[in-house]
Amino acid sequence: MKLCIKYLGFRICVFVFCFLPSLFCPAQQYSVSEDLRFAQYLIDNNQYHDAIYILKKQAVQNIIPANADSINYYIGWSYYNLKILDSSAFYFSKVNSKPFYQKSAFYNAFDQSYLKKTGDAKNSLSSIRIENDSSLTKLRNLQYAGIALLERDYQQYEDCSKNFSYNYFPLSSEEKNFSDYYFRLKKIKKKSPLLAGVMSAVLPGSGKFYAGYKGQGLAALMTVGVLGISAAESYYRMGYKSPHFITLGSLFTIFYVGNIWGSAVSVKLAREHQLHELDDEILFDMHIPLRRIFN
Amino acid sequence: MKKIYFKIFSTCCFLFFSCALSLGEGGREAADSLFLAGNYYPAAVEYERAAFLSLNNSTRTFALLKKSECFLQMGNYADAEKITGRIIYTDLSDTLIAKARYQNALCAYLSGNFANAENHLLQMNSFIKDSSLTKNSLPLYALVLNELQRWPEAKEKILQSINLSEINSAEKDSLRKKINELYVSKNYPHLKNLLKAQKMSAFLPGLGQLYAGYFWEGAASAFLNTASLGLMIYLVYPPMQLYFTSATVGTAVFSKFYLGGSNRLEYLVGKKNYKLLRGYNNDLKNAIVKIENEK
Repeated sequence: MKLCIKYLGFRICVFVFCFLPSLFCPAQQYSVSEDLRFAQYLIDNNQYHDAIYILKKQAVQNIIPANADSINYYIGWSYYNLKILDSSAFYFSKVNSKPFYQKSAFYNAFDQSYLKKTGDAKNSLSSIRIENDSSLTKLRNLQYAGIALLERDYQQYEDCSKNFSYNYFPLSSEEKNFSDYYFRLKKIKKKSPLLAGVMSAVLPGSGKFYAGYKGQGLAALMTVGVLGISAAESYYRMGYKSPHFITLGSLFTIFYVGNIWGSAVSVKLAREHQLHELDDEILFDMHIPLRRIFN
Repeated sequence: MKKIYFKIFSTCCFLFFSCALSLGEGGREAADSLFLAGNYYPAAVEYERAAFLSLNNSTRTFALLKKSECFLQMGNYADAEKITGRIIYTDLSDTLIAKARYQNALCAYLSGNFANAENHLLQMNSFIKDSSLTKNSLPLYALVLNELQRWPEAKEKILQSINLSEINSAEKDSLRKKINELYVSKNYPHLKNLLKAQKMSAFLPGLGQLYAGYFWEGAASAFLNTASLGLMIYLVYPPMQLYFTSATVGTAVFSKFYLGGSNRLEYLVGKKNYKLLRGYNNDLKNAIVKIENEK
């Protein structure tokens, strides 16, 4: 009995020591660091939806700013990988301190550029705190140049391109590409829809040829030509009152007028298509240095 | 006294490490309770956490199996298959391998990936020698073989399943009889041959559709082809003599109907074969499920 009492304190300690870990089991409350580690694992395994689920659950419970930054960064990164860029920009913009601040700020600006919110992208870039980091200064300049190209603000681009060094590895190829895009953008001619329509009226299909759609132009010439000759043949054989001439003549008219209208529209479409392709290339080259510098 | 201390110390160590280990299992407990409550998505995330925290491949495999079960419950069979595809089959007991292979095959079967389902069942039956572990997979194997149109092999599997079941011989005989009645070669669906149908339609437009079992489509195709051919001839004969129109417009209209009918055959034959297969395999599936319930 004495022995039992003597070692009672010790036994209580042993009990607490033994069952301390299991005390945490039933509650299933994971610490922020555990959840962040798990979220990182999910992100590494491309399970972005699951990562967002875990992090948002933690974000509701967590109010410590340092943790909130990490949580917001990971949520933003998951959305970025899911290509939900508005949500990604929203969470990236909430990151205020290191180690994720600068990466989040640059990706936020890129998300805004991709969403064609170039004004917001420029505001985000200008508000980034860069402390004597020449590589980030150069990166910001490149992003500004890219946005200027997206906005077709050639004066702004020329101002930015003066700061291009063309020999800093993470940016050099993109700087050269931007120069190329600049010249290509300036070379895109503003073709006239009116001229395309007139050309198609004179020679069916030639308006589409002028717009840049050579195959479509040839096909239009064949269709309208065949219908025109058939209508002429039926007029020659059977006169203008014959149902054959009326049918073929109507078909010819529909195709002829449709081709003129189509040619005028295709000029606008061709230009938009060219600009869209160039925008994609510009955005791609804005994105690659971000991956190079921050990964 | 030293002995008592040693005993206490060793008990403490054992309890401490077992409880520490149970922390890793803790994620699974939480996931299990979520699963039982029908909250399948949160449960799936928690099973992923359990897989992440697992200390060995067996616990990881258990967690992944349960996660795939969550996706099956949500009706997301393709993702369930992807999850079971992450299972690593090294250092697992035969029981767990059988369980994992079965789950993998089931997910593949439900997502319509029958070749992959067969692959897992084949490996399971080849590498696991203990038939008590594999016998439960035989009905699924039969269902998979049905979908692969290998009915004699499917019959063999289901008969094997009946032989291995723990029911009396009279019941076994009755079930065998039912199976023999179901799998009669004359009942197998006679699938339509696309090439044959296309050749028939090339010879006489509409005949291929008739062969595929679409009478009205065949009749419509025959009528349209005859009408367009008639139009071509009508345009050539006096008083029309519209040679150019007949050669161009008439030919274009005829070729559109002729080639269009042939192209549509591809869809029609596929649709018919699908219907034939589904009809027969659904009957077999219902019969197999009924037999399984009777066993």
